[in-house]
Amino acid sequence: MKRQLPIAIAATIGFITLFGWFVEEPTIKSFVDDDATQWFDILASFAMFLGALNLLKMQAMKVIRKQRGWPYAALAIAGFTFSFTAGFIMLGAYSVEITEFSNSASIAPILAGEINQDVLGTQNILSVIPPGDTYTIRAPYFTEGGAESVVEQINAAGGTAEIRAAEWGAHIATRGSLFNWMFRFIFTPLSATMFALLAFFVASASFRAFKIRNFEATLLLISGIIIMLGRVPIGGNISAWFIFYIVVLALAAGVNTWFKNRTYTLIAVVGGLLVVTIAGFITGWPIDQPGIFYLPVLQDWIYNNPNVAGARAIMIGIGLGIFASSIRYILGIEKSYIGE
Amino acid sequence: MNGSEIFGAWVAVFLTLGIFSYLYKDNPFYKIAEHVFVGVSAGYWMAMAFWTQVQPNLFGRLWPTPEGEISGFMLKAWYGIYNFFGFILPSVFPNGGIDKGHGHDPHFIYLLPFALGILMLLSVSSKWSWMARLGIAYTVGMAAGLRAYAFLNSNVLGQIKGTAVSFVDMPLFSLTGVSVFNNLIILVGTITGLLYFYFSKEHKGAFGKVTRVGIYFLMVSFGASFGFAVMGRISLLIGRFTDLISYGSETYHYASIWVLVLMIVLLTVWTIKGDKKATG
Repeated sequence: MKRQLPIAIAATIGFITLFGWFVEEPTIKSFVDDDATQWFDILASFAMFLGALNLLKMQAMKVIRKQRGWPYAALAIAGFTFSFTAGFIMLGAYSVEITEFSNSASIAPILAGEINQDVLGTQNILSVIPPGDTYTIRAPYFTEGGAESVVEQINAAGGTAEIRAAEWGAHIATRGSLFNWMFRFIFTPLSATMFALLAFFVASASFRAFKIRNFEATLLLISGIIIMLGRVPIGGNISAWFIFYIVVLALAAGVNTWFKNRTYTLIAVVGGLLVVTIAGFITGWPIDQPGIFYLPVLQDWIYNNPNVAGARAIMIGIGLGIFASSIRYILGIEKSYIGE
Repeated sequence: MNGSEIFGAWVAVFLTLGIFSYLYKDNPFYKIAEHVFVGVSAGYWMAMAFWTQVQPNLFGRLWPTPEGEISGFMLKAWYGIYNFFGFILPSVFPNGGIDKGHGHDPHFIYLLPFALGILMLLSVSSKWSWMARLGIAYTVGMAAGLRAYAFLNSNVLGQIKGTAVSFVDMPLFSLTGVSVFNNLIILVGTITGLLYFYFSKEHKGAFGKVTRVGIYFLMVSFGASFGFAVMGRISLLIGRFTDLISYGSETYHYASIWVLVLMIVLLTVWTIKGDKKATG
């Protein structure tokens, strides 16, 4: 049962879902279009919970057994605890809504400190609010007590203010919530820096690719460099004639490799440079002509043509591969998900 | 600038520089930032999954806000369970049911994914881990059924349709628009690239030459992807530097400068100590 039941579930659900595309049966169709995909997303969420639980279990074991680097494992647990608190326990997104501020001169000094403005500027802000409208202080009050003290001060100064709390669920995107604070000051800097770190290793990766010195590696790098340069402002400032000269020199290098004859190479270099220079003088050296050597145009052409061709070949290959493996899963041939 | 923003800036600077310190070598600052990242990410994605999927789409369907008074023993018992959970976790189960636009009647069929999800969590226990396979099997079967058709449609048929290009009523050559030459490039590139993935025949002779052309197209494509990846990373790097520069201002009490100096000093001490240990 431990083996057969999962295979039977995968096969049944797979068959129903696959045939939902091919049969005009409203119940199956609605299940495939709506519920089945929704269930998939729900189970994917449970998979995330499982991942978090697994991580906690592993890190906790490390701490309990005092394995090498256990203090760092404790930090991982602390990080998880903090984000769990921000996500589920401490809302933190309290704001203060001022409903009555006719006595703006006495409210302004209190408000100024909260919105980081001077008193006169705050008074100006309050003066342009139409009568009957409200003003919300969106400074992040992580605790209800923090917001309460501001409300008390405003009420004592002759105004009327109330605490507004964000709803649970909406708090993940509400500015001022503890979760949002964590996203802005912990999660984003860490994830962005982790990915940005790769920028430093690109140089060494490019160097290694160049060291291979075959035509394929060169093609990869040249297309990469053209795409990069062509999409940034500096690429538009590089004259097409400069690239033309580089192409002539590259061709001459090719002639040298092919014929291994100095005279031929000299003819290729001098002849090529002369032709480009004369053509430049005749046309008046326009920066974006000839278009094929102008980086923004060239990168656009590479992106829309040879790149599309290569990407299509890969995508078709992936599509066929996924189709074949999906059929294997549905037929119960592929059983890696039960550990076989 | 309020205190939480300034404190947040100091935390962000410490973590950013901690990750960047890996450029020197693997060190305690990097390890701290790395482990915090792992822990925080797990909690972050867990909360996101819960509040964007489980609470609105699962609980929201199991216990939607009822229309009027709840009648019938079963329904009363069902919402009794809800009220019990609501007493323990009022944030997840607010009073009166969950209104997420899924109607007013409970969708009891959603008990099935709920049960499968709970079973998936049993994977952490070595004794009951086999039960987690049921949930995983559902996910695998579902993905296989959905993707078999979807990928065949978009990745195979759609791409073949896109490659079936026209050669009439268009210029012979154009850099900026469609042309016979460009269409030929796409057609030749796609077919030769696909042939490269055909491994049932040895890539020799005429076939080998054709597949070589395919490799060239694939390499150009990889180059373009490489270029975009690099640009993406560099843009992230610029973003990080922009933040560090702004956090280095007086408003944030020169957070970037202080943390950087402190980190350099501590790293120097750590390196000297390490060298002494190695030589002594």
